Amino acid sequence: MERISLFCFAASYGVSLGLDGLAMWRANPVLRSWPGAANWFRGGAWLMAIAGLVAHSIYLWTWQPPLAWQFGGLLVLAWFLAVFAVYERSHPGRVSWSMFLLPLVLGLVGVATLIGPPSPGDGRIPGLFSTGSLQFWNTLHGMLLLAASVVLSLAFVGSLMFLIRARQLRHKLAPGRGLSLFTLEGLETMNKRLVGLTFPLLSAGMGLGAGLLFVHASKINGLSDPRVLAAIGLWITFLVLFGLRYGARFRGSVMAWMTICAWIILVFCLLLPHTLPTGPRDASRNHGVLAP
Amino acid sequence: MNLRMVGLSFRTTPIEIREKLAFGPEMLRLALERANGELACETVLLSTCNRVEFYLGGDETPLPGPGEIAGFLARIHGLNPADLEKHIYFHDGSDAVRHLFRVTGSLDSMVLGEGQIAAQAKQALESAREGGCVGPMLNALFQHARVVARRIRTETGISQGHVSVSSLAVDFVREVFDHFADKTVAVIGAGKMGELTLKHLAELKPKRILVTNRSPEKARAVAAGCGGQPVPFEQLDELLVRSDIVLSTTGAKEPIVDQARWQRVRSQRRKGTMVVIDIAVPRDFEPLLHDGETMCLYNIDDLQRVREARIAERRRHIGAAEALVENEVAGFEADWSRRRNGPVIARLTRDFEAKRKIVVEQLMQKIASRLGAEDRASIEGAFRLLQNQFLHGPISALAEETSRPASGQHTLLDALRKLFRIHD
Repeated sequence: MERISLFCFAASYGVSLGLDGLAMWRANPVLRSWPGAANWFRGGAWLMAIAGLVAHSIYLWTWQPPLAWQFGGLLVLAWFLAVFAVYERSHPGRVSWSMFLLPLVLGLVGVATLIGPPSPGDGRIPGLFSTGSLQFWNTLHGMLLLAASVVLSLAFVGSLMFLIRARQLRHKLAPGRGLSLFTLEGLETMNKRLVGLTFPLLSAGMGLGAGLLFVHASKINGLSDPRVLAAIGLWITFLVLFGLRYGARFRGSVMAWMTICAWIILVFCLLLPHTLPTGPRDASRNHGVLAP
Repeated sequence: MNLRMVGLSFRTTPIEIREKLAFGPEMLRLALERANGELACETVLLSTCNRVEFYLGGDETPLPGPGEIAGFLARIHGLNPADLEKHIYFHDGSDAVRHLFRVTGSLDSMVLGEGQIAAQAKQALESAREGGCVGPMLNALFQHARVVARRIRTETGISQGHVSVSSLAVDFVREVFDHFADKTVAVIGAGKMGELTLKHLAELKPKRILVTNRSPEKARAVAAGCGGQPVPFEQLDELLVRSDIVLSTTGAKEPIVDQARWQRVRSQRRKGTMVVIDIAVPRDFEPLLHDGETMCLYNIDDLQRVREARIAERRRHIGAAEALVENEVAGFEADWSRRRNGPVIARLTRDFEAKRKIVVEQLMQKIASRLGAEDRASIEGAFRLLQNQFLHGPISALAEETSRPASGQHTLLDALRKLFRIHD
């Protein structure tokens, strides 16, 4: 089990993505002579995605990377997105989900690899499944923000799909050509629902985080801490987005662009504490926004 | 292979004659009943709006020729046989098999890759079975044809996508909306061209269909035909505000919805995207209104363009489909030959086996007392070997003959039957 590395599941996801791409590539010489081969490519892609997910799960279970560290947060977020990609991949006709999600998963795993795991001797960082006096609230805070991140990432993918679908329609692409996507109406509805779901998760997670700030006040530079500033920025963006979601007659593409902006801010929040020093008093400067 | 196909199709026969040859269910039943008596062979009658074809088969029976089939058809439909004979074509043996596989695989259809013909061939076999006209040959042939049709449909891209303008219009609508129970369809005008498209749109079961026309009578007539409600033409703006899908087919000389009107309508709309199918010529909606989000506008040129592209795409797969047909023709012939030779070879072997046993038994009665068990076994083995070596020649020759693609008459099989007095 311990021999499973980040490379194992990243490679599986990569091969799965490649096979999906081969199945969708219209100029593929194999498909031109044998269109039935597309089903074999898709089947292979699904199996490779499952293999990647199994390896990913074993890795998380074996090493239990701390959620408070960007490395753990990003890997767990990638795991949830991979679960969704595999689930959606099992439904015929929803090929494009994995085409969008797997690059995202690979990107998150790649960034996590660059950041690297915490050093083994760092006892201040609790494990993924560890317990303690304040650990419940820390974990709940992290879980709420993680859930918001997962849903927002799906909304981000849905928004990308919406913009591509709108582009297909604008160019009057023949039905069935290009990427196989949901309908424009379906994508808009999905995006609205995901935004509607993200906002309470984000608000609850941040509310809890604000409470925990008092407990961990010694570790953070108050409101000037980049993590706090980034999280507030994300929340304000979402407040606007949430308002637009219920605002009448708002164009779907505007919603989609704003969701993409919100997701970029989220990624910024996930990485910011690692890249910017937060002052000499901050002992846990490499911790992600997923934990105070 | 004693198989023949005789028929007429859109490739050889004008529509005026084809429509006189149409078979309703009752007429088909009567025709098969008469075919049983008059044609005296296995018969399947495949009748569609584009072709009438007789598939005839049997073991030994001489099969009816084109002239007899023309006469048969003429008698049933009350026509002059001479009018039919000049349009009739026929194929024998492997060519007939190939023709059926191409027909059911939709390679010989008016619209390449259409899916109806396979179901029609299946129905033809069912009708012939009910009429007691089907024997082992046509049963095996049509079953195999179904497999070929399915392979062509699934393993090549020859049946991908719709190619009729009305179906394509609905395909475009389906790219935007995924449920229709809350949608309003507006029909502007009452052009004949829009009838089929409206029928397809009504099949989506929208919440309501609203119909408007400069002539209230025409609006009422169209609305009655599709279960919709007529709306006065003066309320066109309100109609557009309420609609999700618009089908426009007026005969107006100028666009009836221009930028100014659309801006007015759009400012009042609470709904999302509106899909407009504008199949009027000249066009009813200004093309610049299309933005792919608030309005998706498709005119007749857009639909034709996609139709032509799809047909061209289907044509690319003809080569692969033809290769598949050739492969399956060879497969069917080999399979049928095995089935046909099997009983003769079994009978031949059985007869030789019986004769060998009698001869060996008689011999053993005379000399068994002078032989040991080992000697007896050697003698029995020698006779068995002689039998096998003797049979090897005819059986191999039969297999060689039937494996040749051109072998259709089974002269060697008949010779073997006569030489060795094998009777069914």
